[in-house]
Amino acid sequence: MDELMASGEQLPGCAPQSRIRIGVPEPTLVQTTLARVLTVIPDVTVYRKVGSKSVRFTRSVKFNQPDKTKARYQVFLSDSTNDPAHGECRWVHWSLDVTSLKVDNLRDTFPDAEAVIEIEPWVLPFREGRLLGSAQLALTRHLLVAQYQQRFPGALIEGSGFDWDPSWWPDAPTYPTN
Amino acid sequence: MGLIEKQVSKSKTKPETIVVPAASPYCQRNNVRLLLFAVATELAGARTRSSARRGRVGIFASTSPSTVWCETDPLAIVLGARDGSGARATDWRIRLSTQELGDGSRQITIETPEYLMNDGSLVNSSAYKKTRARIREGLVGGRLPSGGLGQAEFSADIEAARQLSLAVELPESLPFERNCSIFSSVPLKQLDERLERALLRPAGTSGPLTIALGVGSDAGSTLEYEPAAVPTGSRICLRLRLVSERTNAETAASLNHARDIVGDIRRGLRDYDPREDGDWTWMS
Repeated sequence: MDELMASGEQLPGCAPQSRIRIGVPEPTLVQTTLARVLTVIPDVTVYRKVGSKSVRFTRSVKFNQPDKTKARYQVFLSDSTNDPAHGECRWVHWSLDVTSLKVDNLRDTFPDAEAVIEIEPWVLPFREGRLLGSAQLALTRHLLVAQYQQRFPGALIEGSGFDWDPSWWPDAPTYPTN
Repeated sequence: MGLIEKQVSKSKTKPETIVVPAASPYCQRNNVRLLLFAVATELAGARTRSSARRGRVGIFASTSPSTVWCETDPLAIVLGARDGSGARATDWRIRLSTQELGDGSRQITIETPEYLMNDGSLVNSSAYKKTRARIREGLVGGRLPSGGLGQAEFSADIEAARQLSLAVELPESLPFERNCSIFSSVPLKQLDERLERALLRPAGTSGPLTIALGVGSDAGSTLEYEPAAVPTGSRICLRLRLVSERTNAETAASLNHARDIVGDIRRGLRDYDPREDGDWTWMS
């Protein structure tokens, strides 16, 4: 399974380019949701040739807040290593932007919402016709939406590409654990 | 050396401005992003090769399959390779900047802020030329991308989409009556009480199988099963068509319900035992 996740296998029926907007009935902390969702996405070990050496990397989904004054987070898939000789090596693959938007300009679409969570693809890398880390991306999108759906049943969702097929990654969780 | 090539490369990478009219879907930035994504996926399939080495290199400099990055802010397509530490070695970057004009139209500028030349020639120039041409054609044509990864499976972009589609491939030998019975046996999830659902079977062996959704008497959307769309009968399409103009909120609600239904159909088909009628596969 690790090989499949490392190879960036293209998933049929996945629409990673789609922007998702979720209307939520009360203001909510994006950071809490991200922290809960991303910890349950399993890490994958990949080996990468650095110079003449094969170095062990851990591929994981992480997030950060570039500007501490804004409710805007970047979620990204990166390979990092504990090997002190290659500590500066960090490969970032795809990244998403998760933002809490004010509902004022989106009142037509989300009449009853208090806030809108926007999940927008930021950087999508392709190699040999494949989207790198597509399974992790699909699972991240699915879990984020599932988390909001679980917390706010009936929340209006605009967008697509957050379906999940367990066969894409059988060992992965389907819903965030508490 | 390469003076003429250098001039040619410079002229190739000159900025270009396109004004899209107010009626064009590309007046919305999100649709420009979808166009870039479609072009990037096409480019990624072109099997270009790039080298992470910079500076003076021998004729046997190693290359690897290129990586294509599709970026949102700023809107850009980047072709290049990764060097040993994970940093990008860019061959070229095409950037799109948009500016709203007073009359509702939008001005889109295509620039190349970064490019690499080898002996005066632009590296991966044919891919560059093709990419720029695709972007230009898309913007001028004013049609949303379709086909390949550029087409969202459910293109549920509220501003632009009025049609959802799902395609599956069934064996040619499968008779139409059998197709109908597969779809009618798919367990559909209980819908919201406000919505009415009707499954309309065709009277004979022709005509679409239709699932109509509506709020009250207003038909909000229609899911049609059209096996006759492809002459060989090997591919069938499920299309969801929103048949009336509605507010964005109602459209979003319809799309959510439609997505549930298509998900149910997909699960039903997955559970369906293909050995009964031969192999069938999902179309990507």
